[in-house]
Amino acid sequence: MPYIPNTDADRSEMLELLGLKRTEDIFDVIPGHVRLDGDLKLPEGMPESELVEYFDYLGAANHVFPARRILAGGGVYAHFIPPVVKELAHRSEMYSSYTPYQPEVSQGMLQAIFEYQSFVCLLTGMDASNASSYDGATALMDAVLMAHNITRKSRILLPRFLNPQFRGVIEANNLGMQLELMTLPVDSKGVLERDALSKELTTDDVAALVLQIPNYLGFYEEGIRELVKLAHDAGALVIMSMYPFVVGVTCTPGELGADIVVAEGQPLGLPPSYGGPNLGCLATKMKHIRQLPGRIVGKTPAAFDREGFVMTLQAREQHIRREKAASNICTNQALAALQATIYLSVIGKDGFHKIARKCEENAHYAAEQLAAVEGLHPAYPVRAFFNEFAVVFDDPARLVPVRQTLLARDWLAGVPLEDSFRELAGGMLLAFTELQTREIIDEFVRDLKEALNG
Amino acid sequence: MAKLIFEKSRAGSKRYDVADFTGLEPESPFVPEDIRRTGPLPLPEVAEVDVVRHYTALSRNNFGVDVGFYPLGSCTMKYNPKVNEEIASLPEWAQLHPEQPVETTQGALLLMHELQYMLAEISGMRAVSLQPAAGAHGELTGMLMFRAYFNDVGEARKVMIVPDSSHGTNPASATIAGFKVVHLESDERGMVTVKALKALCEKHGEGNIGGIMMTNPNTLGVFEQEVKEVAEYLHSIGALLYYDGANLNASLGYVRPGDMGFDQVHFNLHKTFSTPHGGGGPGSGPVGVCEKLKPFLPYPIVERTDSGFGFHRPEKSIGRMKLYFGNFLVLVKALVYLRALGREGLKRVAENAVLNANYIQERLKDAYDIPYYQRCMHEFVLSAARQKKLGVRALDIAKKLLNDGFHAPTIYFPLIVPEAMMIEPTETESRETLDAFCDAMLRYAREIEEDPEKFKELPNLRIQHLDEVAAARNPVVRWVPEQSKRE
Ligand SMILES: Cc1ncc(COP(=O)(O)O)c(C=O)c1O
Repeated sequence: MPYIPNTDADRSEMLELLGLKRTEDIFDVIPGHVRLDGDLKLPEGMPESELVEYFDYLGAANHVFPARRILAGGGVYAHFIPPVVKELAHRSEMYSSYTPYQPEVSQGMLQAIFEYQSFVCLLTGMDASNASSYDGATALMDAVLMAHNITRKSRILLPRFLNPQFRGVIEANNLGMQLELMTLPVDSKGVLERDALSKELTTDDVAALVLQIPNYLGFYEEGIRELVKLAHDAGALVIMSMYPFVVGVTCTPGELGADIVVAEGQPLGLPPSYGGPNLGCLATKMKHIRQLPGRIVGKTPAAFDREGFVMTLQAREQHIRREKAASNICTNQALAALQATIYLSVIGKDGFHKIARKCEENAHYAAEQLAAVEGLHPAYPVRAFFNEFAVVFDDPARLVPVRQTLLARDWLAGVPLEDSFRELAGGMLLAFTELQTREIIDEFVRDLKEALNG
Repeated sequence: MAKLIFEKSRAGSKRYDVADFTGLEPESPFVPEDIRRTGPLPLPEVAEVDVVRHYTALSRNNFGVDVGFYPLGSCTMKYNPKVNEEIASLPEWAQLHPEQPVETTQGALLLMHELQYMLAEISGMRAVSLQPAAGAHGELTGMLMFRAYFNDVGEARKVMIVPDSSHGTNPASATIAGFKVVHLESDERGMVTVKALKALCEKHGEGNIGGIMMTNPNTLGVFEQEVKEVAEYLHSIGALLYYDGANLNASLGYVRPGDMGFDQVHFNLHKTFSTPHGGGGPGSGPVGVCEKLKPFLPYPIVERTDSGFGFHRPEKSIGRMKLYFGNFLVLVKALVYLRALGREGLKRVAENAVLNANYIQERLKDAYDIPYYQRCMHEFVLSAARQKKLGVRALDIAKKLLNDGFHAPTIYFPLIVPEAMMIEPTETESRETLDAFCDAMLRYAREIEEDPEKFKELPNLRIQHLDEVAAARNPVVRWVPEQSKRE
């Protein structure tokens, strides 16, 4: 049997010590009326050679787009991952370990998490990060719950153009949290309505204003600093959800006044992976660290005048506090955090800023080229954006066939918007990373024109 | 402590090239001025070879299953087959974008459909959602579904029962889902009894009881003898039963939660199905449910359609628990493992896991107290209470094991055993390894009686006695760049 090292001889000697004859007898304490009678209806096992073949066969039913022809984002992006990242993150001393509860033999993982927390603090402009949440959406849910616990208030203001899956996760969890979720409206230019926000804030029961940078449609909310001030003046906290690379060109959320920051960390060295595993980044200011859910690693003195790392502030966690814990999280996304840490170390200061600039430049170049294409228009023309923007087909019915034609030319073109935003029927969200060149974008624009005219 | 990657930074030592890069002005022309970045972030600049040495050094300073025996109770630290990793990293899986139309991801959907089916069959459930990211996330999903179910039938049941031996995530999950948690005392065998349960339910009003969260075998490694009767009683008062699947390794192919009467289960794919723990994650915690809870499952679920496979939203779905379709690459690894073992292999897993645990228990039973001594399943809990009287705690024994090249068992859990050491060897360990561990533990028992103070010396551990109190009192949780230190 694969992966079971004991021989028949081992087993019979072990059974003898227990006073048993056959291996199945080991289960004789299980009451007969709950035992499975017969066999599971499952296939037989396979040798590795057949396994590999079987999964090749399954994999062949997928189509893998070349990364630079993926012009879709919406939360998951096809950035380039230097091969050294996978090689290092795959060291099995790391991936075959459990959560580092025994610091004496886990300094490697603990230090890596400490470095991860430091990177997250640098990118978010916060003082303290947890060791990871499941993904950006659950991190936002954690942040919302945190804001509720800190302020003891129950209203949460969500922006209209929040990633719809993030919104979905908050809504599902709200079955238990029972908070009052409000969506802030936008005007015809896509700008959050300041008056509506002010009005919501007069009631003094708002726990948090949530902002996404850039928002789901790729553009920056107008007057972010004023929005933050309005919320703070009303005693609400500000939660920002950010695309990790955006801070290569903007101030950090901390510099903009955020109290809690979340991010989907997948762009930091994780492949798209059909949407998971991802990486939930969650960080806050020092004064809220005791409300921060999840594991946290800290540096501390050790014997012989040395220093080391431990998991700290465990009094917040479920294994100590049980029903009074800050959160129920146990297993997190540690290996994804390690991978992001290695990725950020590999691209370094130079790479991080170049990648951010190139993503932005590609998107702006593409937007310029598309402005000259007849049959589609930008969703909101004058908004400043990062690496993603929404276009709408003049005739909404063209969206499906055009995307289909582009698919046949090996483009994964855009995320359709209508399901989440009814006013954007015939719209799609296009995303760019550092992987495109102007030549590739020109080719895309040509193909799109042909698809529209065909 | 090794230097941090940030402390190895040397200005100009790392250049990273991006194709067709032209953006040369120092500031972005595209960002509104009031939020524009004016100088670079203080990220490290380290040459690739030095990054490689840094993280290689860290990994050499870390204990995993591939390093040695890891009998960490409740965590099922089994060997992680390399074929899982190899297959899951193929571009056919890793490079799929979740926004691809399903016509281009039929292989992934078929894989998920097959895993849904296999997990349902293994657990005796009717339908499975692969979405939750870990065991605790599955619990939360389950508790929200219980809540949705009670809302749907117009009942405001608020109380969730957890046995006193339960894992901390159980009460924490129930609380987040809006239940009030009450603890149920185990009997002298460490088991849940209908008698105690009934008394507790009556005390809180049977009509208020939402249900119970149990694991079986429970966290003492003991098989709950009255589980069927517990289910019958709770169903008779309109409550539901949730099965914490952390301990499923013990019973694969022999007992199914559905047949015991549970309405919902979660699986820990990173435990039972070997998809590594990853130093703390990512895991995966799919949930399986009985017929009446099916309409409440989170979406999307994979279903067969006329033209292949598609995603489906159950009619009264609680919604979405996570981005997209779950921790997909973990699902791939779990299916590779299940396909490798197959029907018979899974039974061998359970048999050998249980045999290995009983073997250790039998060898250690005279040297240590085992408060709930009886036939155990895949794990058992011993107590260092006898050793504590001599001044040596479970913690000290754990550290001695680390000193000697073993990982420690889970300690101080479950809470109902004083000085608990919870030992789970798993099926992937040989008798030789088990013997080496038992020999060490027996030797410790003697050494503790002879000279408890000397026993506590840990000559092989470079880092020891980390000051956890100082860490919590004055948290240092990040590296701070020089320039901000000066500010
Ligand atoms: C008994 C038990 N229940 C639940 C959990 C939580 O599972 P996870 O860590 O996957 O969230 C664990 C994990 O340690 C466990 O041992």
